[in-house]
Formats: sequence, C-alpha cells, structure tokens
Amino acid sequence: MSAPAPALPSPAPTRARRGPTPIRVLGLATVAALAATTWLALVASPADVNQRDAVRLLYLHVPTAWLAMYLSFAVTTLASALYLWPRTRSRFWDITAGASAEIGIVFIGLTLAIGSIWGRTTWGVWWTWDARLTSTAVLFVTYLGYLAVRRIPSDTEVRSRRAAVVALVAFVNVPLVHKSVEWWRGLHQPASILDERRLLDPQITGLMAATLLVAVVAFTLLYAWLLVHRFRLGWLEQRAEDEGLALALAERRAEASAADASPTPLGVGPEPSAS
Amino acid sequence: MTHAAYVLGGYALAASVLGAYVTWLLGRTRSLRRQLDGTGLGQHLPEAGSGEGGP
Amino acid sequence: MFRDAVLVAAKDLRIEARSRVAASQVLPFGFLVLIVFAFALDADRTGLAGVAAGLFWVAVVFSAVLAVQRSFAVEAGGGGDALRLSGLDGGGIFLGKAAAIAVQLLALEAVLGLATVVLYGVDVRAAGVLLATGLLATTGIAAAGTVYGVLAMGHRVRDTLLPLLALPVLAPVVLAAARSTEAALGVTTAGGGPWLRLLAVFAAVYLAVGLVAFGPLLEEA
Repeated sequence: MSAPAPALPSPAPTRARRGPTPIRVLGLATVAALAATTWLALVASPADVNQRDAVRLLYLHVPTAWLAMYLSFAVTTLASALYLWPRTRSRFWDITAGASAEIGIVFIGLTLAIGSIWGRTTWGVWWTWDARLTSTAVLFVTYLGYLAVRRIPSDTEVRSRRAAVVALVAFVNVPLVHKSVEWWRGLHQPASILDERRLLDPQITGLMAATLLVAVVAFTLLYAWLLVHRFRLGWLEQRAEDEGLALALAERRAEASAADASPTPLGVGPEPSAS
Repeated sequence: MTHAAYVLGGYALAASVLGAYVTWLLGRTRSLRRQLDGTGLGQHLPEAGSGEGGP
Repeated sequence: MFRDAVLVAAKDLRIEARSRVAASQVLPFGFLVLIVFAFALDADRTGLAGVAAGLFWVAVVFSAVLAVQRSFAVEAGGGGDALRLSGLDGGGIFLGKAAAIAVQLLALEAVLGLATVVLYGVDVRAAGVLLATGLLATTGIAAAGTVYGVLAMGHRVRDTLLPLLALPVLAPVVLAAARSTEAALGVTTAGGGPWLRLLAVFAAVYLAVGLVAFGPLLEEA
C-alpha cells in the first residue's frame, strides 16, 4: 500500500466522525472480547500437560488461522463472484473483496508468525514443511498476487474485473495446492503428538475450551470491525480516484481553452493521493 | 528463552501488528476524509447500517 | 474455435521460427538455471542425482514464465489490440497460444532433460512415466501460464507481476512433476501414479479456466 498521507493534527476527533452506534458497539465488543481473551489465555487458563505454556499461543494461532484466514478469503471469493455476476455487479462487492483480502493477508501473516513461534517452543524449529504450513505459505503469496493485481493502474472497471477473476482462479487453486502438498507430506511425516489439533480435541474441556471459544469469538468480531473500516477506506479511495480523474479532466479542458490566451497556473486543487 | 518469553513475545507481536494496522487504517481514513471534505465529496460516505451504497 | 486455435498457434510458432527468441534466450536461460543450481548446491557434496528431478522442473517453470511473457509480448501494440480486433474466438486464441507455448516448452524440456541426465548423472528407468509427466505437466503449465499471461499483458508491471501470479499457481505442478519424475528415475520407490493423476487434474482445470476466462480477460485489457 502507498504510504499513508500524514494526518492533520486535531485537538480531538469530532463526535460526528466517530461513526454510528452499531459500529461503535461492535468496536467496544471487540475490545472487550479481546481483553477477555488475553486475560483468559495468559492468566486464567491452565498450562497444557504436554505443551505447558506454549499452548497459550494457540489461543491466538487457531482463531487467526481458522476464522480470519478462511473467512477472509472466502468473503473475497464470494464478493468477487458477486461482482462478476451481472445481476449483482456493484462497486460494493469489489471494495469488499479487496478489503477482506487485505485483512486476510494481515491475519495469515500473523498465523504464520505465531505458528512459527509456537513451533519453536514445541517442535524446536521455526518452520517445518508440513502440509498445512506449506499450503498456508502458498496461500499467503497467492493473495499477495491478488492485491498486486488490484494496484495495477488501469480503468477502474477493468481492474476490478481482472482482480475478481484472479480471486476466483486463486480459489480454484487452493484445493489443488492442498491436495498436492498433503500427498507430498503424507509420504514423509507421521502425525506429531504435539499437534495443534490436540487443542481442538473434544476431550479438552473446561477453561481451555472456553478460552478458545472466547478467542474465536473475539477474532471474528475483530474481523468484522476491520472489514467495515477497511471497506470505508476503500470507498473513500475510490472517491478520491474518481475525483482525481475528474480534476485531471477539468485541468485538461482548462489547458485547452487557455491555450489561446496567456498561460495560466494549473493545479489549483490539492493533488489527490495515489491509492 | 523460556516458554513464557516466547508466549509473551507472540502476544506482543500480535498486538503490535494489529495495532499498527488499525492505526494506519484509521489514520488514512481520516486524512482521506479531510481531503475529500475539501472538495465536498466526503459527505457521500455510506455509513454502515444505513443501507446506502449497498449492492 | 479449433480453427482459430490452429491459426493462432501457427502464427506464434512461425514468429518463433523466424525470430528464434525462445531458442536463443529462453533455452540458454533454462540451461543456466541448471548450471547455477549445480554451483549453489556444491556438485560434489550434494547428491545432485537425488535432487535432479526437482531442479529440472524448477528450471522448466522459470523458463516457462519467460516463454509466456514472450508469447504475449509479440502481440502487436503490446496491448493485444490486434488479437482483440481479429474477431477470433476467445477460447480459440487461448488454445492456440497455450499450444504454441506448450510446443516450445516440450522442446525445451527435451533439451534440458538431456542436459540434466548429463550434468546431474541420472538414470532413466521408466521412460513412459517420464513422457506422461512431461506431457501432462506441460499442458498444465502452458494453460495456467496463458491465463495469467493475458492478465499481465500490456502493463508496465508485467514482468514482475507474472511470476508473482504464476508461480504459486504452478507450485503444485512442480511438486507433482518432480515427484513423478523421481519415480521415473528410480530415485524413489514410490509410484508416479497419484502424481500423474494430479497433473492431469491440474491440466484439465486450467484448460477449463482458460477456455472460460481468456476471452473476457482479453476484452478487458
């Protein structure tokens, strides 16, 4: 993404800018849930029998992996399909797809990082070529490509449609990558005892299960909040781009009509930031 | 490093990354809004829940 | 549609025959990749024969990206206007371009394969499996490459965008083709069967994707 334009200093954000009540409620709920998660994960819940304290990392890793990663990219895929489908075509879906993908990238990066730290404490290595990690890494790069396609300077319609196609092809690719990597690793690695899936063993009850549930809920709320805000940003960027285009057109016309008269200074308005 | 250090490190990492992203998101939104307000287009931002701007 | 495909494929191959870019640049590149690998992996210490299959397919896939870029660069105007205005069927253009790329890749693979045998010292045990691997993998690579090639065509960022898009997609092909080749070379005792099936599925999927998406993507550019 382009560097953010420096925010103008202001004494305090005006109340009107805070956003309407539903979003604020969502934001507050998210913060509360995340706080609860942190407390439960780090303080209240017990250490695991085998993994000891390392299991606490899984309260971060599992939610980010499952929900945010699969959820984000599922939303991107769905939104892309809806954008391409003539009857539901709308800028709304295009911006949603992009927003969800960007959030997905953030979360998948986190998943890999937290997972790597967890792996270090349990398996002793920062990385291992097991099926899921490998597929996740490929997924990460795949969606980086999607985001790159969204940034190609081009006509908005064209760019949106191409990005949507890329998203759908990326989705098609997921099972192919998954299957091939699974087969590949199936030949080499027996399932490890210290598997993160142990945490999801239905026999695990009590505080650990509750913590995991709270964590999953918290991250889902976070995703929703982020999606709304990233969508807004996308909408604004779209407006800025359209405005920039209109400005450029106006300048051209001004140039053309002033060509007969003496040269006039151009660029009267603020330069729209490149999105 | 002890387990505890790794765990805290992991949480710190998650907090930093998410915090940075949120900060960037809100900051950029604010600056874009100001910019568009200057040209009168910022008013058209669809607020979530209002149904405007939907498909 | 097939007639259009033949038309396009013939045109592309004719251009190649006359300009010889693939032969004089892409092929040496593939060759270089093999050599550089040998340098990087310390030819004596590493059992190059053991990793030869994988390295071969890496070289092929890297070269394929170049071949795809070349395939779309030859379109007059760089933006594909000529193709669009030609009135040819989108699916036909896709098949034609993919076929031309596939033909060039097969030739490349034959030469690089020979080079691998010589440079890395491998034995070929099951030539049939090798052949099947080559055909199926190449089809998949050509199909997927053509789809992403049209996406990236004409943009200034084309040269960096295409590898970024294509390689994650081609990762399963590299995986399956390398494993299957290893089976054919007797490096592993596992059979190549499941891998060949995966390659076939991949090829089928991307041929379908291309037939559907190429036309619209071309129109959009």
